Amino acid sequence: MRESVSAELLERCRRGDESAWAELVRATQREVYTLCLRILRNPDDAAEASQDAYVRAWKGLKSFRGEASFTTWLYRVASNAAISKQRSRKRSREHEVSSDDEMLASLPSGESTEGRADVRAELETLERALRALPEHYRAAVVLRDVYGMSIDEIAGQLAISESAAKVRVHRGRKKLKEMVFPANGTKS
Amino acid sequence: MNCGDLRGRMASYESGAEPTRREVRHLSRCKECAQEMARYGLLAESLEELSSQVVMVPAALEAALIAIPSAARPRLRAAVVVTHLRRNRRSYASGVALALTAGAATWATRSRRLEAA
Repeated sequence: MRESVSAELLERCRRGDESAWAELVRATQREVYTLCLRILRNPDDAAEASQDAYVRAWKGLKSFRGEASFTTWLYRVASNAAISKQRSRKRSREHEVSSDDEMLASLPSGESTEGRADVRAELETLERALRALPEHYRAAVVLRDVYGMSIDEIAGQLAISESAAKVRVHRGRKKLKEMVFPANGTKS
Repeated sequence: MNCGDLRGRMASYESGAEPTRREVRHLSRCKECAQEMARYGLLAESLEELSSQVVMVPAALEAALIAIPSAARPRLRAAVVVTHLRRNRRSYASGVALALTAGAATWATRSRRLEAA
């Protein structure tokens, strides 16, 4: 995520300036919501996880020391909220599948690939494949390969060992590759 | 190195990592493995590109996110009061004890005066 929050804006938020907070939300909400949606697949769950993330961010602003960039920190908070939501939800697989159509209508509204129909089509195929990945692989691959989190961060977020996190990332990539390149995926 | 060994490892390669010499040698003479490696490379690039693909946030969500500080304010104020009371509980307890003692003393004095009268 590119840094879209200035130190000055953060300082105003820390002082309780609500207009600065609104500015911060507008600058980051799409990335945060999209991350939650990629992990959870369900728009309602993603909205709830986004809210949880911003509540945690608001409460944690004063303790944010700036070791990492704010947006990187916010990503961690958001993925943590999404994974907590993933753990707590007890919904059927059928519900997830039925929500795909709703998701497809909203994904992607790409900024970087606007006007490049071929690339957008490829990325749409990839989004579909990601959504079809089993939940435990999906979160690991999304956090590692889309958002560039380290293996130890992923292990921490998912509450698993580093070796288990690596295995999930590798198996997830393999499955994803087989879905994106179906004709060649199982060739040996 | 055989195809099975190399393909078993392909999913563990991180984006931008260079293949070893042995792998390069194998890839230069095995078209299938080279194609498979290229697929993983393409997959990694596309996944990275997804980070810039974002969806529109529902309007109701945006409003709820912006309202977080005002929604949290009463609870935050209550939390500040509770924290203050906890930190200064000894002083407050001493103050209350002192007030009770003074009250009891006044009451006792008045009672004695009334009895005397």
